Amino acid sequence: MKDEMTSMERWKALLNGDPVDRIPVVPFASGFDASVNGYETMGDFFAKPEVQVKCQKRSREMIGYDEPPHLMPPGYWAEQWGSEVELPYRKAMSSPSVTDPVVKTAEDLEELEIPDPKETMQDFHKMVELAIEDDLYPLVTIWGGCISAVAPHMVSIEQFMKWLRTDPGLCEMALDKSAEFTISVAEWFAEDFGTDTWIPWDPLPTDANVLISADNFGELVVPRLKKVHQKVLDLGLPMWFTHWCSDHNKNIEAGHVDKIPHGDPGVIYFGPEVDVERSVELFGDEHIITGNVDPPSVQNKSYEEVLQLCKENIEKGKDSPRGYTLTCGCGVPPRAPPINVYAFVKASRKYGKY
Amino acid sequence: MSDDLFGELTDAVVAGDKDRCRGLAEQALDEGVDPYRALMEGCAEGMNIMSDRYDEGEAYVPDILLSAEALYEAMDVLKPHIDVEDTGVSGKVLLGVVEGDIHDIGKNVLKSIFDAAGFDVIDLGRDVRPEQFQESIEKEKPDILGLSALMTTSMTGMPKIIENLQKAGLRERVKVMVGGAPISEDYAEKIGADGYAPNAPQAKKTAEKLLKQKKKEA
Repeated sequence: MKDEMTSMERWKALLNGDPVDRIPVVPFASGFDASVNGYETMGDFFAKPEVQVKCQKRSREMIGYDEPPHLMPPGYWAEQWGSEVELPYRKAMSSPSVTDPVVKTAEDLEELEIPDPKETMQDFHKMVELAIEDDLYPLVTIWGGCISAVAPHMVSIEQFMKWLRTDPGLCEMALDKSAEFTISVAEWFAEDFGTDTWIPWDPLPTDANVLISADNFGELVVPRLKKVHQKVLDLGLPMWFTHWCSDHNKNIEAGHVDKIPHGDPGVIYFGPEVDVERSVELFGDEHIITGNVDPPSVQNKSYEEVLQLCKENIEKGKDSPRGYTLTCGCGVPPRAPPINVYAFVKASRKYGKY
Repeated sequence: MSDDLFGELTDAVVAGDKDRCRGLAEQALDEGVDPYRALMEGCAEGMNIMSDRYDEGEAYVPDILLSAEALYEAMDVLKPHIDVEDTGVSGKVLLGVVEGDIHDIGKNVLKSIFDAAGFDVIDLGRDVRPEQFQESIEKEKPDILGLSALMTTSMTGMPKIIENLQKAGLRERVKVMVGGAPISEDYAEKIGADGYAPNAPQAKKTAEKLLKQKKKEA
């Protein structure tokens, strides 16, 4: 059962396409990390750069997984635009919430200026710097050109959804602005931190087919997301770690996921809505595939049951040609029992040896 | 004549054309058409069509939202002229997204489908504290309480709400149904809910079933 590699060696080997001793475990555990570090709420975790980095580093050491810190700015990519955000200082909250998006009307959107990252993202810059100084090779949220970075961060989801039908030009404008902003953040970080010390990642929940059609995604999002991903890769970043959150099956069928550059390889992270076997079959030859044990099970089931779910996930993904990592579907629930998160590591050691 | 108008109202809701809906609703009143029939046989039928299309993956949230907007436009015109006794309202439903969760788009879609189905819907909104649910149950006396959550953190608020109702002696008064992305039928059963639905159109069926059950028990 003794590991032959350290967590960081395993994480870097996975990304570099080098052999690993066993399946890397990257459960996406940010809120959980705050919780096991003794924070009663997630407020400080999201508000304070040093807390976000420290919590993720320590819980990785404690539980034994291989996940680097994945970093989200305190303003949640919303305050930067002028939207109001409530940080999760209430126990019932698990992440920041956009309480009042800055754009209410077409005029608001037209007049909305693209923020200067150096004025609005200093705390995020500090957070990334802390993680890089500690050689943690973090995942850094670079979020734009997709609906998930626009609604509700700039405009409410309902308003954006209605504009999709009544005034798609406004949707395009919002997506273009978010793309431009995020590219400028990536350029700044690449200039200050280089391109071999961090990995960009983006989540796409509001772009899923439970909300919008594959046609809408193809027409509006694909060109802009493609542009953001390609520009960032052109800066010299090696890959994208992209979470195709929720149900993207229709986007897969329409060939949209293939059109988005993820790097060679990139990391494709689907939620439990897409079976790992299918991910491997469709994308395994080109990209690293993540597992996706479903989050409510990790929160509500027993250690033995979670271990079994991890085993089944590993069996489906282990031999994916470009690599596989055991992951929790849309991230570990913040209040999951720590022993159930340890089950991921245990499963890797028991069933995931190469 | 009425049938043509009902058909046009149905089409206007399906098309999400709120101006046309308002115009047709006003026309219905001018022509002396029963406003309740215009609402149920015209507008609600349009919402039923959209609900089925959504359930079958042929319509998406933007379509439902626009149809709901059109429905409410007609309701604004017609409702003040409807005699409450004529409505035969099938039940009263209290809806809300549980504390800590601001994801209310699913709940809003559900509300429009419930409104169209003729339920008397009270919407407490999002990020609703357990005490607010309890207070509203005492005040409004709904037949059904519908709880929604999208986050694994906020879903843990559901059993607390049910426990509170139990402690306050209100549990027997109301059927509780739950839904939202992380919720499953097993979870609903585990926390002592009476019903579960994976999406808004299915929720309507669950609510109808629970109402029948409640009436039987009465």
